Amino acid sequence: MTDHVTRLYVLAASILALFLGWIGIAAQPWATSKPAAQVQPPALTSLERRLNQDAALLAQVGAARRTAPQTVRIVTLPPLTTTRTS
Amino acid sequence: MLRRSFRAMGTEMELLLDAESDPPLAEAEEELRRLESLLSRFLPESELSRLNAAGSLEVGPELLELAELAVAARVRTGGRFDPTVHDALVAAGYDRSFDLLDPVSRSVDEDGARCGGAVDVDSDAGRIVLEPGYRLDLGGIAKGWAADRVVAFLSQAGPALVNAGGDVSAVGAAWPVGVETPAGTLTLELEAGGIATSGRDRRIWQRHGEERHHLIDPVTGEPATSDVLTVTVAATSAAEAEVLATSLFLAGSVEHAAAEADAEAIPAVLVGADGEVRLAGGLS
Repeated sequence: MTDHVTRLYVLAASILALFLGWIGIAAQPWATSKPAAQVQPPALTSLERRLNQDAALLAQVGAARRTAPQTVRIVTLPPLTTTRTS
Repeated sequence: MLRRSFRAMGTEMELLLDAESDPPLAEAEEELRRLESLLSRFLPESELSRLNAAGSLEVGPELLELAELAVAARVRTGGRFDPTVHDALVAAGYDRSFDLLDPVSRSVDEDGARCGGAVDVDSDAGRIVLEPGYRLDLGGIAKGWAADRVVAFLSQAGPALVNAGGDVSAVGAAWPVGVETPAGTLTLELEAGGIATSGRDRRIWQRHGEERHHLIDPVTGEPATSDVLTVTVAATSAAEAEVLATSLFLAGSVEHAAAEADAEAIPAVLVGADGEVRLAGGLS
């Protein structure tokens, strides 16, 4: 009889511990009080600015390459236009 | 090949475009005329004239960019290319558009004016401030800069070339560009970048019985004396070519100009007053 009562107490205590654990886990005590999205904007803004700067730099380099001096050489073709003192 | 010729900025303009449709050429002509209305020292209402009159002015992005480019060119050429030669040009007799200039100047007799004035270009404020007593003349760079700007626009439609009175800017194809020399026309093939010529074979006039020209030596404030007749240079842009051609002309002699072109690898065709043609800077 004593063993039977003891087993009932242990079972009840186990069920209680299970529910308390469940509640504790569901509460997510490790999560911050603010949503993650509100923490990230400064970092994202900085990243966006850096990417924009990189894009601008790449555009400059590209433009410089497009206008880089090609080999200028003397040819025997008739000219399409003529340079003169401007 | 589409071709359009007209007069603007006091000179002959020529646009070449390897494309099917003509509208870009009309827009390019309109843009060149708009730039002239901003940058000419001969138009009293131009932004440049208003800056020269006031000494300080909040200006638009075009004049701001061009002034910055001109000031940078002065630094890079050790002062040979100088945007503050305005008063020296007027003193030499070049006081109106060359189309209206009397071949025998009757302007008031003046000594050479000072050059090398300070030009403060404040990009953030969009303002240019000139040192008192100095005025800007951007004629030595504006046509090349305008040609570069317009060729960039035209290149959206196809391979293009803009010849702004001898300042040639090209992109997108191998363009044969002629250089006139006493020995005949020499053809340079240019794929991208610019070609420009500076010299005393054109834009010349008489004053007190002496021949005068438009290339001012900033050291003396007078038209430069040199045994160089013309210098033609190829560079990354027409504006850069114009600056380098002027700088080489002011080297003082064909010998010095050729030595500098060789040392700095500037492809150049030099014509001496004696008619001799010399290639330098890697051209052969």
